[in-house]
This record gives sequence, structure tokens and C-alpha cells, in this order.
Amino acid sequence: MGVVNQGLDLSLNAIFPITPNKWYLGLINNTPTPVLAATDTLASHPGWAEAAGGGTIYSGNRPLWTNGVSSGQLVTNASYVSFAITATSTIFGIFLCDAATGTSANLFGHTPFVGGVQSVVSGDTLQIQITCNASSS
Amino acid sequence: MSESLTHAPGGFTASAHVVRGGNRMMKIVAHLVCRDVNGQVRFEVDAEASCPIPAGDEVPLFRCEDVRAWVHPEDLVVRGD
Repeated sequence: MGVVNQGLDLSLNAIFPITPNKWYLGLINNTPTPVLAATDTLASHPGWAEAAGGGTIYSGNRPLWTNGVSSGQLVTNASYVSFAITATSTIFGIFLCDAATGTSANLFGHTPFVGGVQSVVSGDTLQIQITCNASSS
Repeated sequence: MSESLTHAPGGFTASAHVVRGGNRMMKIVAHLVCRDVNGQVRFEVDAEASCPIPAGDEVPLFRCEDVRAWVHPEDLVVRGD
């Protein structure tokens, strides 16, 4: 037997606390064609570019990932996390890090959108839900 | 014993949904076929226009109606030959 379900939930809750939430969502631009690597860090990710906030692609800083408590070895956000889009762009996916701005932070993970790239224009709202689950093998 | 967190099948996924603002435009294209009394096509006209797509969550549906077209004989251009 390996790590039991309770242990996996404890691990997720330790990484993704809720009071307060500590992780932030960033957007991955579809240009240049993204290549995600396990060796990526927030300071060094040669295969992809961030679709920046601060009014460049969306307003404000990276929004907080409002994750809930782990249940069934899965953490997610019950309500969408929203980006107020300020420019035409095509978004490939997201990354999760522990800073609202800059690159001096930890990169937890990154992934393309399940439904494919999202084309947005100024005035749109991009709503995102993330799930992170844990398993033992 | 080993644990798999981020590399488990489906371990880290993101889904996205776009709520349209008010800045998207759509183009409507109309194709008009005019026939004479014998049913023979005399001319065809293409017309197009752009208009904003309403903001919101649902995919908008549009129905085209009240199409009117007529030809004024006095507006016809007489050929030189």
C-alpha cells in the first residue's frame, strides 16, 4: 500500500491552503507556440511566454486562485477565476505560481486548456477553473 | 511506495470559458437573386454589413426577416449599343 487518500488530501491542503489562498493564476500566450517543460521555472521558461497583465492582455495583476479544501484527493475553485481582457489575444493555457507579479516566485505547474486555445478580445472576461488531484502509485 | 502529484493522469487541468464583452462584431451577408417574369435570373446582388454581437454568455441566435427588394425601371441604365 502507498500513501492513503487521507494523506493525499493532507498533502494537497498543505500545498494549497485556503486561509489565505496563496497561489496565483497566470496566462500562457499562444504565441510563440508554447512548449511546456518539466524543467520550467517562473524565471526561466524558454518554451512559452506569459500573456501579461497590467493592461497588456488583461487588467490588474495575476488573480488569486481561490481554491477550496481538498476533497476526494482533488483541489479546485468552486467559482471561476476571472481575467478582464484588455487586448485581442489567443490564450493557450495557464500557469500557477505564488506571486501576483514578477518572476521571482515558485512555479507550481502549467497546462493547456482542456477545450483548446481561447480567443479573446478587449472587453471579454476569461473565466477559468483549475483542478489539481493527487494519486498514489 | 511512490506518490504522484502533478504528473498523475489528469493531475493538473484547466478549463476556460469566455464571456463576450461588447466589442465583437459580426458580418451579415445577403445574396439577392432577381428574376424576370419568365423566371430567368437577370442579376444578382451581394450585400454585407457589420454589426456588434451582444455581450453575454450565450451564443446569440439571429433570424433574418422582412427582406424587401425591388427594381425601379426608371433607374435602369440603358446600354449604349
